[in-house]
Amino acid sequence: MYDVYDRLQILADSAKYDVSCSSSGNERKNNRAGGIGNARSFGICHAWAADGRCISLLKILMTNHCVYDCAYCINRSSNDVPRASLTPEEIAKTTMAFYRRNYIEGLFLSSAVDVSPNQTMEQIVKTLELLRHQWQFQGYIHVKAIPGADPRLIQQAGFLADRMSANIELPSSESLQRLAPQKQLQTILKPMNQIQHGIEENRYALKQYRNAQSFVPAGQSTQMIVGATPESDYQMIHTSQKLYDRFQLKRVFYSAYIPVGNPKKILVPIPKIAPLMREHRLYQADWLLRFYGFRAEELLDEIKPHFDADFDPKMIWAIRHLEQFPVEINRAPFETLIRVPGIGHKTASRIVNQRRLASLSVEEVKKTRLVWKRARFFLTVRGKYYGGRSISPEGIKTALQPEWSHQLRLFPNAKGGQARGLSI
Amino acid sequence: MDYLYDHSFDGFLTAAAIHFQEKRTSGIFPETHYQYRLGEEVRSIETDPIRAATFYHELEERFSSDVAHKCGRAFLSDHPNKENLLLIYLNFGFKKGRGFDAIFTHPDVEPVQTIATAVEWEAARFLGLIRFQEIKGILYASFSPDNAILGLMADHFLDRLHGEAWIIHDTKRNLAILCNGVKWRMVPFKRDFALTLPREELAVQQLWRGYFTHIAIPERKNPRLQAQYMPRRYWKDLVEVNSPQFR
Repeated sequence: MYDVYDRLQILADSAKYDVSCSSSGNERKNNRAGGIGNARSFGICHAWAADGRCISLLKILMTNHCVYDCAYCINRSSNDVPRASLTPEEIAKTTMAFYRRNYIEGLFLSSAVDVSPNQTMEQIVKTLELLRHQWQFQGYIHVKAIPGADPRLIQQAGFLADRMSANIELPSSESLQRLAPQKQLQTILKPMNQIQHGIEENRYALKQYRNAQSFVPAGQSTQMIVGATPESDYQMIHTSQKLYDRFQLKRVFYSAYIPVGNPKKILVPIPKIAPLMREHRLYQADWLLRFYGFRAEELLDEIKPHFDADFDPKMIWAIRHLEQFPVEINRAPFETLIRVPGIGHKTASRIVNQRRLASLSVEEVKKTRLVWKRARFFLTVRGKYYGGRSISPEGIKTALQPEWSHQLRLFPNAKGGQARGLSI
Repeated sequence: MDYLYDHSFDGFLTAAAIHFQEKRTSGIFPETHYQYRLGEEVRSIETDPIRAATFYHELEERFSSDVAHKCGRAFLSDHPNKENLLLIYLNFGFKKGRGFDAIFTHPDVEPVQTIATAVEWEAARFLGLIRFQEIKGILYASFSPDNAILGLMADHFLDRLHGEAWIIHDTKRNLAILCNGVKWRMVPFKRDFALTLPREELAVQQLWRGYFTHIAIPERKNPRLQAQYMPRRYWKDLVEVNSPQFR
């Protein structure tokens, strides 16, 4: 039998492919009645691991003993990895020790399915009860909804957690059938549906009763694996859009497929564009869906189903819609400005605020922190165009190509790196 | 005439109030690092907290609470000439009136925006990067930020660790916040002895280091990206990376 130190390492190893790390979306003040902790809605990163991914929560499995044999998963029953479990008490105690020292923002608790979904979910609920009631912990908790568990257990967890997630993992039921024959898409969507209804009912209860408890106040998220199955980027992003529309998810996370253990089944050959680059592009596109008013079908379609390795999704969209450009920076509405490559939310609102007072000259435009190199092809400033002699897709691509070599630094040996959907 | 003040924000505000209400100055400088110049008259400003508060309130009324707040943040910057960047910024404000700070790209406005943003950014980063060590029931953290952001840590940790005694120590400026769980204050603070950590504390740190190592995906190793988010100059105070195995 391992001691806690060894088991924590084993279960961290088993949890590391789950990419969600965010601790945002809920503001909770300390109740000052012997409790410890609070939650900040902007989310706080505490450390960055050697792979450059942020550590915000103690991300851990209760157990990695699993009855399932999903081909993409490190913990599948046929894979030869060290197995371990932690008790609810051990997890609660470790969470508190880390939290008091400000190593973490809270707990992200997931689990393999050891005996049955119900038994697993019960252990999870027990851990949350210990933390919230016995330790009076008021920090952030993200917890997995185990597909197939009794709705009553999911409900209990929802009143104790800030965020819940059920991972759909693969973007189509065919792929799920092939790689995880013991699972069904419907079983995964059921808890998602339940959580969404729970959140809506709770919204009403919170309005009606002052002391109503919050149910999953930071919303729910999910995760999809990139590059383990033949789906195109278009299918992935379309699935995400459906999930956003139908379940009001807060986030869809993407995880580049990394072959783990000795795959029994041959997964798809590694595609031309490495999964990490695809993951990066999907995050950028996801950002466009959530904050920039784009729809999936604007970014890709059946004819062009993949994102480009050299240019980000917004740039590709703009190059394919040159008929909408150039726009006059001193007049274009905010919604149009944020569609210009090299202009983000912050820059756009800065421009809108400043031009109310006086129109911007080209020198001033360059100082607004937009990415002039990219934006100049799609703008006029006081009527003048600065994108060279003629605006054509090839011309723009040629002019920009060398600028992109800096991007490769993000991906050492053209494969590593974490996507952050920021500078679109 | 140059105005010299005592390094405090109240002192700076007093000097700025005198500049706008009585006699214009050619520059405001901290008295300890002042380089006297031939023929330049100087005046030492006596810090007046009440006058400072009144002037701060005037900034809120005349421009916006955001402008006043931004001045406070910019003042915490390590920029060697922050006082005069602020003076230029406010001169422009008094000339232009309300809404002047929306002219973001103006050379009198932009530098203050930039240093204020850098301060905010670093403070937000350290809300996550502060690391406490538990010694005899007290949580002690040392850090050495680029900017004087110690005060911006206080309320967050007072709320989060309510009822706990803690110390956050800025080793670069020899200042610390002492908190008894209910109230905090900032005091001059020096530590010239090595900490002896109890066994329990060492065990928790070891557990955290192990977790930190195992949560990384080896196939995605990317030290440059890691250092971009977690600059190496901060590492000496970070439990997970300050032990020999990470050097």
